Amino acid sequence: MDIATLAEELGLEVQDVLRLIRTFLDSTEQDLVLLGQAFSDKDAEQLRAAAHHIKGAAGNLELNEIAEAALAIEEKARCGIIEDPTAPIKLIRSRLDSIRAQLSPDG
Amino acid sequence: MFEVLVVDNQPLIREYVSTLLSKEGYKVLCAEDGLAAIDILHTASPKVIFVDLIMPNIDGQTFCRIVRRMPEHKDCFLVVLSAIAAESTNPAKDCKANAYIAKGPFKKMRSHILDVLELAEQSDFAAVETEIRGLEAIHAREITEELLLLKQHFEVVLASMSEGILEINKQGRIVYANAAAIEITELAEERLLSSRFLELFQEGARDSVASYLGEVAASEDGTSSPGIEIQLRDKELELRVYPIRDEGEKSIALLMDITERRRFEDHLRRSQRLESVGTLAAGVAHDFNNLLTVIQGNTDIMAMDLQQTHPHFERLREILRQVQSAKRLTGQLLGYARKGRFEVRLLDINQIIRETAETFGRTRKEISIHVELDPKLEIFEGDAGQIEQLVLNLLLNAGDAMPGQGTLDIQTRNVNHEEISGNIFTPKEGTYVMIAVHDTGVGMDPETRERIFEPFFTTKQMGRGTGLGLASVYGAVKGHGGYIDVESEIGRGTTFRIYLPVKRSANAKVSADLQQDELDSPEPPRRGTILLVDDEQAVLKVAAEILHKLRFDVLAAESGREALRLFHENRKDIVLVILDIVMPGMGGSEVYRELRNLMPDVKVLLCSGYSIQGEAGRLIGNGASGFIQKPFSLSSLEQSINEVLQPGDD
Repeated sequence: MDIATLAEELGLEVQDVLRLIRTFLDSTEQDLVLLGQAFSDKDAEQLRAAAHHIKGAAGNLELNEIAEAALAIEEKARCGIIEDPTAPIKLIRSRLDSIRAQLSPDG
Repeated sequence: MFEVLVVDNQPLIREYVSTLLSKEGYKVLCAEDGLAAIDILHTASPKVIFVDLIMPNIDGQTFCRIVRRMPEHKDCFLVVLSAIAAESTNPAKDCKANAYIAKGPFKKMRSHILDVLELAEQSDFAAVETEIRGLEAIHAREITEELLLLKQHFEVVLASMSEGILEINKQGRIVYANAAAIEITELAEERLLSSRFLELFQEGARDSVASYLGEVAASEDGTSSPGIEIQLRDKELELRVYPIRDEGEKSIALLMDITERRRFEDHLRRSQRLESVGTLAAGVAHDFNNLLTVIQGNTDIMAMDLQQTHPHFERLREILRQVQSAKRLTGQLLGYARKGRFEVRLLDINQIIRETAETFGRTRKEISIHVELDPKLEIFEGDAGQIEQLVLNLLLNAGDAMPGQGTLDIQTRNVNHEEISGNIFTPKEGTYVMIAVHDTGVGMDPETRERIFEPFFTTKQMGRGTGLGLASVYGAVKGHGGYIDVESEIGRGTTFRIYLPVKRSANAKVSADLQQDELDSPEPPRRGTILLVDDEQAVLKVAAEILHKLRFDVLAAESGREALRLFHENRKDIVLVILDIVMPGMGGSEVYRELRNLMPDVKVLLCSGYSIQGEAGRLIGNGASGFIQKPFSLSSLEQSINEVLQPGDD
């Protein structure tokens, strides 16, 4: 993720974009917890809503891989299909970890 | 630069839009949902509002509708910022927003956001866009369309429900209301939404509601609490609250307007109370009639044996007059209980009213009486005595309500059942004769109005009223299958409306003559043996003496079995059986059946402290020769016997 280019495209300062990305990481992390919870509770609506949030936020930042993984969960949940989201959650978490690594002082 | 409000439940969107606009020099306010945004609007006046559509608490569409109804904000520039705005074929037309921007990548949204702000600065705020900006960045998906359709489906269902639905957030504030809830609470949507649920109720009721909410919250599944009945403005409501555990401790409140149901239940309860008092009244009247029979019979006999010059003769006449007064009282009780004497004839109600009003007018000259009688009023089939009493009681009641001067309006007309619907009762289909009596008297408060038909209920001074007048009106109306309606207000008078169903039977005859009785000189009696059956010894004794006076021999039986035995042994001599209907053990009906088995053409005169309705009427239909109601005078008994025994029978 090229933070400087993104900042320019969004009309923001780099520090604003960094704050934005942290907000994204935090909110997505919360939504992943809700995803896991919804699967345990067999709650298709909550599963759909959490996936929808992740998809929307990732789409805002054009993190397409995350958005597509969330979309797949959302569409199935919409049809009442509750599939174990462990694999997509794992994939999304790994992408979030990559972003975090990039944001860290060492990244 | 002006103030901008961003309303979105997604923190990333709020943060991006607010950061972008702050950099552009706008003062930015943020709200995470519609409810928080409404709170902000109480103190701030943003010129532009960006609002998401799908949000918890108050959603975007409702929020836009409310903003457009707020006088101080209705002209602000509304921008819908939503993914579904792009994905729906019907992009929230109800929002009346000035612009729509589809959510998508921030870099695409940025230019659209800045464009609409420029538009807001320059343009006429009344302009409404229908084009959605940013559609090229995303693709409509069928799945979201389905979601929207489902939402619309639920909206339609909720809007069509007769129960009010309110969604209440954790803080006790209302964030959703369906159409029925708006109607029940009588609050506009913009006032209802964001208000505190408890504050909907009058102060006195709030504690009950709060305590109920506590019970619901404490219950395990939240649904075991049965709900409460509570007053909201002038309505009776049943309130049920269902917590939604998974959604941040929200609750759904179900409001059912049970005002009509309650009115109906009250009416039913009142009717049942009147019925049970009626049964009691009829029982008392029956027993009194037996006592009066004995008093009257003995007095009749004594009067017959005395010369009119005897010092006690006048006292006996006075006793008989008092017995007549007592008989009128028991008659009213039986009338109320619909167990009085009931002789069906065709009646000209206008004529009855004219005569009664004239009589009444002579006694209350200070009251001005207006009579408006429908010349085409249907002939009514009913009991003349009861209807005359009914009209007289209504007039007396109206007169009592106007102790000084006043005006009494009496009206009759034909109405059909549809014209009298709308009241608590549902009239049977058909034509009714309406009698309306309106007075300009003192009127009644609701508590008095509730009880006026109860027997012995009176507002008059002790000794001035029996409390039976309106009770017997009620009984007479019900006995004729009619309805009664009363309107009254303190200081504005009272109107009674009686509706009597019009029906005709072929064998009814037009007459309103009243039966004469008492002390007329008896016609020569016929000889023969009468079997007298009554479980009351005193009645047997006096009736036997009367029959002796009438030159009959008497066989007296205290029970049904004894009567059958005596009949069996003396059947050749018995010209008539006088049979009490209500007796312990073998009742009158059973005795009658056995007598008919022994002698199919046996003549039986039925006798009871109750009326001819019911059992007696059934036996008459079955061939019994006649009926006489207790208490009976010597002459009335003689008349009944004469009617049953044709010449040559004795």
